[in-house]
Amino acid sequence: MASLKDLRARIASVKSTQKITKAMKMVAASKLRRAQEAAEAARPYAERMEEIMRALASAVVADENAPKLLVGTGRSDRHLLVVATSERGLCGGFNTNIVRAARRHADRLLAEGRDVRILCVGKKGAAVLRRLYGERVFEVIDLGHVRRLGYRDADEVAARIRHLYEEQEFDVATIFYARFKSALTQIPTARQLIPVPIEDKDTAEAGGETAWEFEPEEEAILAELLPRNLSVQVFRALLENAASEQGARMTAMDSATRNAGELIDKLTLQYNRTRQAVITKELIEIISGAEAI
Amino acid sequence: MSEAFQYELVTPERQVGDGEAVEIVLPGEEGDFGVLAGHAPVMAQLRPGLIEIRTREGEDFSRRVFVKGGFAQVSGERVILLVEECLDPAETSLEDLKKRIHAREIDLDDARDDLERAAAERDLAWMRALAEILERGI
Repeated sequence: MASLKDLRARIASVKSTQKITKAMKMVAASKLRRAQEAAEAARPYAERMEEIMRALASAVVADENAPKLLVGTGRSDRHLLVVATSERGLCGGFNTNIVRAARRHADRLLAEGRDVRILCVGKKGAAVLRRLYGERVFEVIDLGHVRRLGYRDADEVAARIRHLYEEQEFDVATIFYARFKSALTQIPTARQLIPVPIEDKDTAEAGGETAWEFEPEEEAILAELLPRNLSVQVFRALLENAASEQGARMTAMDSATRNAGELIDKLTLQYNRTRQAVITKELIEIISGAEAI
Repeated sequence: MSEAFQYELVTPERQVGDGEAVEIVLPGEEGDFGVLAGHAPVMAQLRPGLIEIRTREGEDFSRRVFVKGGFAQVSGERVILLVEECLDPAETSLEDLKKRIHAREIDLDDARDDLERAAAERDLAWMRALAEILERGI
């Protein structure tokens, strides 16, 4: 049985752990508010942009002159997975969930005999993916120095993807991130970046029937719009991720604090019982000592 | 006579405005153009300039915003304006702006590489456009 001194030490250590997790929860909560506002405010632009791109993707004839960023290379042999995770741990299942979604996708593609390469944004996912896929993880973009995520940061990531695409390193690019729903739920999401996906039947049909006029001409506008769209989609993913990370951390730290509380209660009970036992034992010793005389 | 149509004005950071309008004047890359309900579908690139929105028939333009550039998607029943950044021209002082233009012009002369030069030129383009509008008076 643990001695009283050991128990006291354990209680003290759990208490100080609880203080830390509680502080982290508070910090995450205040950061979450800002990140959530930023993520939600950025949604309309990204959604409208996506609508426009879809309408265009279905309107533009997929001939050889069509911009590759829009219609793709016409193959889907080599895939680039952009996996966006956090720079810091202690955020529950946040990184695990994103990585799992990416893994499932990657394993399916590999089983189909396609080539998969992985670009990590954020070092937490990189560690796991490196172990699983080794050389396929060819680059990690570290955003640890970024204090407040701006469009410019996303633009840098997007520029890297564009560069790889121009070098014809891949045919299809998909980004993995966690969409923020609430502090309790973050949904791991995969979004195809290149080529622009045409999933929605309605918009595809509506866009297909519409003969768009371009001003200036189509090529010039697409040349401006396509890189911008990529940056915007990356920006959106990173903002959602930032909000999700804080939400996940808040939830994780909340339950850690609660766990610590329960542990303290249990230890305190044990401590008190032990103390009583010790007292009783001493009394018995004294009494039986007195009786013996 | 003319019907109302929906419009949305959004920047990457947030949604600036949405609602009904009867007429919107846009600063297209190749010249200003007005949009009424039932306009032919157009994808247009916008230069730095003024977007003017008339929300009700017979009234004056109720909203004027300066944008640093962007894109407009006009379809028959909806106009989506994706713009880089919005400024309220009424809240900008011309004097202040002129000082900033001057500062940027010095930056342009001192620019060490193409990237800095391009950034300064981009800023100057919209600043000058805004100054021109303010000088003309709105």
